[in-house]
Amino acid sequence: MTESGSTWPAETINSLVDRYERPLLAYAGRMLGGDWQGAQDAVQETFLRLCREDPQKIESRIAAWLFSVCRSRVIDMQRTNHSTPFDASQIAVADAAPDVSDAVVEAEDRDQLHNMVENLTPRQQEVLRLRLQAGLSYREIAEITGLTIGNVGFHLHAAVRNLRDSLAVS
Amino acid sequence: MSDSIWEDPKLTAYILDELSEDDRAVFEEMLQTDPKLADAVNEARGVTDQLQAMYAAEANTTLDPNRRESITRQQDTFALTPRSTPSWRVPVTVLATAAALLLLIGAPLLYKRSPSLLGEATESRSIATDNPSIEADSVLLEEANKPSMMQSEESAPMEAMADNADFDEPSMEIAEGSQDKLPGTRSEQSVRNEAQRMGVGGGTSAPATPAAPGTLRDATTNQPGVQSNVTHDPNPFPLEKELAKSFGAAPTPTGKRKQLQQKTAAEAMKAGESFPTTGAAGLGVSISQSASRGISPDFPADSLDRQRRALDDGESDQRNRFPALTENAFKRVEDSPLSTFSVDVDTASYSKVREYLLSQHQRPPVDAIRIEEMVNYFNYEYLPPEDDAPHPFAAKAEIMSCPWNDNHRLARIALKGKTMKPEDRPLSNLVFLLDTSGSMNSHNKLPLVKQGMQMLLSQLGENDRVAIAVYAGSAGLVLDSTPATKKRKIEKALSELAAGGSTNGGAGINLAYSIARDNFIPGGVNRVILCTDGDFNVGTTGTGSLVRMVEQQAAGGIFLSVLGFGMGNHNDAMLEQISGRGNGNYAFIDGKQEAEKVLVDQVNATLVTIAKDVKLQIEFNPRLVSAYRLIGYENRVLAKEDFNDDKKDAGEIGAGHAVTALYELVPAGSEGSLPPEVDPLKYQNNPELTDAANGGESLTLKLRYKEPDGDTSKLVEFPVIDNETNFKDADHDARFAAAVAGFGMQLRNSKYAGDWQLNDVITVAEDAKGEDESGLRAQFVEMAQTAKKILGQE
Repeated sequence: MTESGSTWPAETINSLVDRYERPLLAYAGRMLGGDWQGAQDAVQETFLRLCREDPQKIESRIAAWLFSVCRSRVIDMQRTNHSTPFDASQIAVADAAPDVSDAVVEAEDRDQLHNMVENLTPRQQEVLRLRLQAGLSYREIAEITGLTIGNVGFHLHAAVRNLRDSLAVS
Repeated sequence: MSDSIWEDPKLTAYILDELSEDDRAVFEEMLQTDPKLADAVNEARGVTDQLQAMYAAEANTTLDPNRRESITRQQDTFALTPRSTPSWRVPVTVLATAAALLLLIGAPLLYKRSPSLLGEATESRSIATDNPSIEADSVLLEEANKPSMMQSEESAPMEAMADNADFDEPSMEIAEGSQDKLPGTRSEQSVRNEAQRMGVGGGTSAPATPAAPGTLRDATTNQPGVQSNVTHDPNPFPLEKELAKSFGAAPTPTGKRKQLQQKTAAEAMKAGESFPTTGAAGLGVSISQSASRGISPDFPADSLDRQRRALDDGESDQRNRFPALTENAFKRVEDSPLSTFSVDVDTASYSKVREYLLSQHQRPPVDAIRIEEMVNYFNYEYLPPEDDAPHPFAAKAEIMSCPWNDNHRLARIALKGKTMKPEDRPLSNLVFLLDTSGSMNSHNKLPLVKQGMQMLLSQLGENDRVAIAVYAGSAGLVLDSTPATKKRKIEKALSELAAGGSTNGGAGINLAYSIARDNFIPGGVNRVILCTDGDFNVGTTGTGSLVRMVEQQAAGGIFLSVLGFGMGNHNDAMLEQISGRGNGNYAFIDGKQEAEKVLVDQVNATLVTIAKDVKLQIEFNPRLVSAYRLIGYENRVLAKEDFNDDKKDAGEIGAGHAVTALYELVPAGSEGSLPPEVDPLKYQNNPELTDAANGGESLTLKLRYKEPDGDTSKLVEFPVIDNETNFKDADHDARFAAAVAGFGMQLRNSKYAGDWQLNDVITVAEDAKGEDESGLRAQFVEMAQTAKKILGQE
């Protein structure tokens, strides 16, 4: 099963880091409740691991692989602070987007939206982020979170519907 | 605004472009005619656009430059440095060809050792600095490893990594960080803690029943002997693992762990009566045993390696251990007229292969493919025996043309156990033994175990009893034997389960057996159901002593079934072995659907054994058959003498189980691929053919089985005639089974695959799907299609 060992061309690793470091950091940072150093650790570790992984094995599902590894890494890190295991989706999350409001013109709207997202269930937040920030497919999200594809669609839709309701009220 | 439009997740799936082509066409048609739907789509799109903008603005952090650099460096190092060379810091200007060459040699090894950098660095440091005796052990350890090629390769990079501690700064930072959290004399303390924890268990609980410590003593005193003749010791180095865990690979604050343990003990007390425990003394013995075993020269190659990967969920594959399997070859009938094997109703291999193909999109490792388990995964519509039939199962055999080789014939042997209505099922005394070690803490493990148990509970009645024992660190009783109808109590116990700590499989299994013994139902189903990912690591020892214990208990009427969970540290070899010896079955639960199949749809087959030690022996008629090959059953083949030996263990058949075996036959006088001939014997003539050989029978099928509580086997025997059936005229079950076998051979890249390709598998399976209520056969076709892509057979 490991006979086909080969390695990554350097430029591939570079472009993968370029492409995924931002969404991975945002994702990890969020799951770690705003611990940005921790997020850096987790993402670095994820890419170091990528270097050691057989390209042929994961080529077809790199995004899902990266997020899965990052996710388990985050869970491991959390485990050092919790006596009981927990579901990643249950982690309470703090504001992960510092300075956003200054940077953008529609800052106020976005802040409002931001708060609405905060009020979604952790599961909904996670799938939303994986879909709309990381651009993963339902299938990939299912692989990462252990939900079924149908379930992913359901949570995403529930999230969109809730946000639409909140926006309609405000 | 009609809100009902918002009930359908397709709305979001549509704007995110996740609908299948057909669904999208339908949806768009609706969109044309329903303006409200069109509005909803616009609204939803507005939401997702805003979100996307928000997320995009938010994802503005990149990796720190030094971290980024470490990745580039790692990549270079990894691509260009041979692991076996001592000079780690080779300049990166190695000639490309040389690098390629080295890679060819080194890559599989590198690959195999891809543990987390972090755990590795921490471990080698802490072991070296903190405890001289451990250090000595690990030196010995390395020496012991030298004979093995893999192992000596293994120690080199470890040293290199340690030497190179300053090389990869950020990671070391992490490593030290986690180290700092631990108190002073770590290793000793952790051992002490270990002992204390055991003490807690022993102290607060009622005195041990005679059964448990007795067995444990047996097991432990046996160990030294066991060590020398057991080859697949799953976990020879438990103390090391424990240490590694406390040192940072999985730093669990000891205080909290203790708390957890106390909680378990307290819960057990709460749950009611006294519970038997293996006691502090017993476990103490097993710990010191483990420690001394550290220097045993014959522990398997990958143990250190394995512990370092303890938490590598993402790249778990390497930890799956499968026993090597060599396909059965063709045998000449004149040399070996008898073929003998044990039935196998396990299905784990199939779900494992499915997990590889459909979830991981990988080709499964060759040794993971046990063709008989794949074939037997499916439910075939074989007729069960009549109610008044003399035997608890019906047997049937027929011969047809072989689809992948025109010159050959294919014999199918089909057994079907008598079926049982739920109300006829004997009373059940079930003890679940759940692995709650840290490695079970993954969505496809413990949560699925709980779901599965809930499913099974729904199948049980008021006189059935259920108990739950857990093992992790030390064993504990979560729920003493309780009537299955007390659902709330059981579910409460289930909901409080949490994973954490390392595995003490041995003590756990002792505990489970003693609960089962205390609640034994004569004539009923008495069964321990082990749910694990296969990581037994502290306490009762190697596969050898475990297997013996399981065998003894099976002889005493308590059977063992194994439900395997999760990709990762799945110790396939051991689980198959202990379930086999424990007169139970072994299923791999890769999802809710599989749990449903094993624990609901086939719950009778899983729980109720109707015949045990079922062996088959086929005698071929040399006049009609010149050679044969048993497809699959490689690790179930028996010696011909074993057939009549009632002491020889063999497989069990559960209520309603169907068992299928396929033989590829080379007809006498055909062009088929015969194995080479041996020289004629000097002192004997070939035996003469009997009159029966002229009778037109191709083979005689003989079957031996015992009643579930019997010790003497019964014999069933009948001849099989080749009716010149053409494969395409055979019933759909036969054709489907052949397709599954063919699929297995394709995946194994078998030299016996004949002129088949995956396309043939797909065509035949598609055609032979039959009713396929469960959809499992359709899923099989999907697997074959996926395999076609992965194997590049487009």
